[in-house]
Amino acid sequence: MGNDGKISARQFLVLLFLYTIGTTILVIPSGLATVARQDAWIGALAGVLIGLGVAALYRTLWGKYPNLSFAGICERVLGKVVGKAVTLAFVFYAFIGSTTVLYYVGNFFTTQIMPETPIQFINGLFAVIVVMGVRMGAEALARSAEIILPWFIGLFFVLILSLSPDLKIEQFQPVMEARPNEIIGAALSFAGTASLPLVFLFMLFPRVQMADQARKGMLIVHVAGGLCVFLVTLFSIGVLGADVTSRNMFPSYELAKKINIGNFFQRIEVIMAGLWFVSTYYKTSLYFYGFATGVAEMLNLKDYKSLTWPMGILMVLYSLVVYPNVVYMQHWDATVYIPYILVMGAVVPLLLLTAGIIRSGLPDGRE
Amino acid sequence: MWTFLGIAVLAGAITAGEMPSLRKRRAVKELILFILLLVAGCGLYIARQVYHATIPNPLDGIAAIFGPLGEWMSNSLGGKG
Amino acid sequence: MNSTALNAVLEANIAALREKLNNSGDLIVREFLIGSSAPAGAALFFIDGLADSHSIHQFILEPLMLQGASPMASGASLPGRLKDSLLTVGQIGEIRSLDELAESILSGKAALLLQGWDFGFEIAMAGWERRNVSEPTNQTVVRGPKESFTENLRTNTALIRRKIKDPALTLEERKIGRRTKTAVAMMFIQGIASDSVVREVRQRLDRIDTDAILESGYIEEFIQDEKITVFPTVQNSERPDSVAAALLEGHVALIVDGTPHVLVVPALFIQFMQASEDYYQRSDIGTLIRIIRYIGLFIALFGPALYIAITTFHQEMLPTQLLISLAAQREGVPFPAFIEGLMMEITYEILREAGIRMPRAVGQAVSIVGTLVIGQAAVEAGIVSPAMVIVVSITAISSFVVPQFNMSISIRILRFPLMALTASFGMFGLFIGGFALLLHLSGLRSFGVPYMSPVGPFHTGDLKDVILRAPHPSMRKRPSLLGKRNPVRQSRRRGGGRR
Repeated sequence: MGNDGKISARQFLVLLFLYTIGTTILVIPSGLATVARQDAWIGALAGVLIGLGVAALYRTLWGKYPNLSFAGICERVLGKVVGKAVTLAFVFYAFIGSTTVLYYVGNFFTTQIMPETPIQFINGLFAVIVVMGVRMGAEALARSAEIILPWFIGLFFVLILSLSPDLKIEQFQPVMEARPNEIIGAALSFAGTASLPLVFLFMLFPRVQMADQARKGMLIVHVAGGLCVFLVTLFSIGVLGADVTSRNMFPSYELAKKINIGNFFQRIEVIMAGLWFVSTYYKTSLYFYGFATGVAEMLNLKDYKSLTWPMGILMVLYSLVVYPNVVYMQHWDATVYIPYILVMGAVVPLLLLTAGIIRSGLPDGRE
Repeated sequence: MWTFLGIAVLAGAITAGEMPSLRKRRAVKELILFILLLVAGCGLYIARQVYHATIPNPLDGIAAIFGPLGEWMSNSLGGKG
Repeated sequence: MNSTALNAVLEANIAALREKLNNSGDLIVREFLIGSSAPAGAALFFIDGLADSHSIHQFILEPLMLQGASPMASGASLPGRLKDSLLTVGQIGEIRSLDELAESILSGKAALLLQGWDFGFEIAMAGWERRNVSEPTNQTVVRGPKESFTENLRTNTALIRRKIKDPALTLEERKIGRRTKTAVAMMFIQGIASDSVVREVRQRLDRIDTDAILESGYIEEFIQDEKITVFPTVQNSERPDSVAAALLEGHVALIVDGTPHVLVVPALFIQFMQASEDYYQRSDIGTLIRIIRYIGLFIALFGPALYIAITTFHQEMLPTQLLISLAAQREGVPFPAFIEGLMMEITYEILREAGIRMPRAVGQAVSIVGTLVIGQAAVEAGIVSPAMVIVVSITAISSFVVPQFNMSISIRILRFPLMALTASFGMFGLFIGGFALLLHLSGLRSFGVPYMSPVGPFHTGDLKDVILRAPHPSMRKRPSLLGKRNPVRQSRRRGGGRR
């Protein structure tokens, strides 16, 4: 299955962690605050719970067909024709995923950090390293994640620790003011960005060695990633307040701006941007990886690497096309996205799993 | 003007990088796809940036399918709009 | 291999050899007689300056001309007798062709041909001028042995053998280079070194087909992994203790005759940041020094780029006081930070390179020119800002903290693209550049071993030696990727000790 090497269970979990945090940490807290106001953190927690369920679903499906990629599973369970159709949809989703995420990256960096740079260059440069990483194969990509992880966690801790003194308990009051359906809405939006996209990792699953170990840790790591986003949401409300959080496109960056250690380490938010750079990088890369490997498998190509650069150009181009402006983006993300991702992220896997069970019984080695 | 040059250089570099290995492996399918994708990508890019042509937005298509459901969900679950 | 076989007639051989060597003046042909009763004609060939004349007189000519005078049957057993009883020398081989004859005398041996026989003997008599074992020039230590390899292959292999007296320490020799016929020795410890690596090294060495091997650097380029990279994938060392330590961890060493620089393979990134001294000083000192080294690496790589990024795009990151003074400094400077940086860095590189090539007498002048003229005067003339001079100087010094020269060069080279990226795209450019580097490094391998192990892939056990330098009693296992065959270095510590 492709010649891009194998990744160890640990490497997989690191990728999973960073992928979960992905763009979630950048774009979600604002949406949560708009819907649930000062209870956004409750919405986040609920989202983590949903994520638990989603991850469990994927884990089961993976365990049932450990050596098949998504395309393979579709074909096995649904037959050649329907299978290929679903795979086509999957590939399409993956492509759209990579373009939208690339847009977020460009949007973030161009509005917050480098306002004078045209967005094409930012997207283009980012795409270059995305293509580089995907081209090198899952193995090298996973290794890079392993190396960068300690730095990521370190910076994250700096963020959290240095802002802890600034938490104001009043910002959370009154607690539980939001109605249940608002919480659910928030939770769904959370899961839509953090958990449901995990379905694209199905292209990665067959390449994981010692897969049972990976599956064992999957839920915990996913929840850990979700909790990191939860923490950021919590702090956004606690430090900035629900109003500011919902009005700002990137409240986590606002948070970083507030870091002030001894009146010397201030305005270091640019370094914090490195955090988001890393998590969005892995999100984009894994989406793109799903796309490239999916196409290669659908068309029975020997390897996907040679096509990555032209695909990269298309990705950059469409990243400029998909969201013509921010208003469109916010509306689309809030309305169309949820049912859209639910189809590929929940309905299809459930379908595959039930059809698979009907065909051949329960998966063995149920954890 | 610059866009043209830039794209041309980029396409040239990519081709120069990939061609030798594609030829060596005699990977016809990949070669065709490669050229197809490259032409499509560069062509569309130039069309958009230089000629300001409107490229159809896939998200519009998706919105057409999921829009109504999405609106209902958003209204009943969030009141965000 | 159709080289001319030797003739039974001595004169023919002598003439042929003279012609092959183009009548070179340092070819000595000594014709003499062996035995007195039925004296056999013989001729001795050697190159003046390569072979040790004294030993030749004492161990070849004397026994044969004098003792050989005792009656003996000069028949079929003459060569046998010579070899078994008369030639009192340590190493003897047979030569059967003109090429072998030429090769052996050109390697410093003496060749003996007999009238009426179509084969002869080559006798090891090497005795040319050689440098004594002295201190290493490039890799000095405060504490630790001060021996360095020399240009002589035998001396070097001996130095290693003196450190590792294990019979499993294997030596494989071969000659590489069509015209230089350089002797290259491969050393590894059988049972520790991984078979696949050893095999890979052999394969790559066999593939070399060239005229000349003049330095281990030539070999390095021929055998290194194909991926295009700025980073070295082969390590070299002048120190026998480093090489011995590497052998004990499962590496393979390549010693090339004619150079004191021994190659060590496979080479991983963290090795380039380790110095043998780390292990001789106490572990806490070793750890601290390593941390400083990594900080130095970071500064050397990202220093100028960070400076450019912050002063051009992200001034808000600096404390206000510093910002004001920096702004004041940059008032009079006509160039943008990037050009300033580029100029200074290039100037520095020119100075550095000139300093190495300069004849010793003029060395002083260079440092004066460097510091006063370029630093001081350039600042006063308003061409560069003092802050930039500081940045460049600190970066320059930091790059020397990296113990291995080839790695520090890589870092220096990488500085420039990073500077270019930050000049156009600020911190974002720095992230992009840094990440691109990370990806590149993650994909590199050296002889099949991932370059960034044990950081990625993560091998917890090996981390004791990356930034930390764990105390020797706790380094019980060898690095896992290399020494898989023989993982245990030492057994559990039995009582005693400080704790």
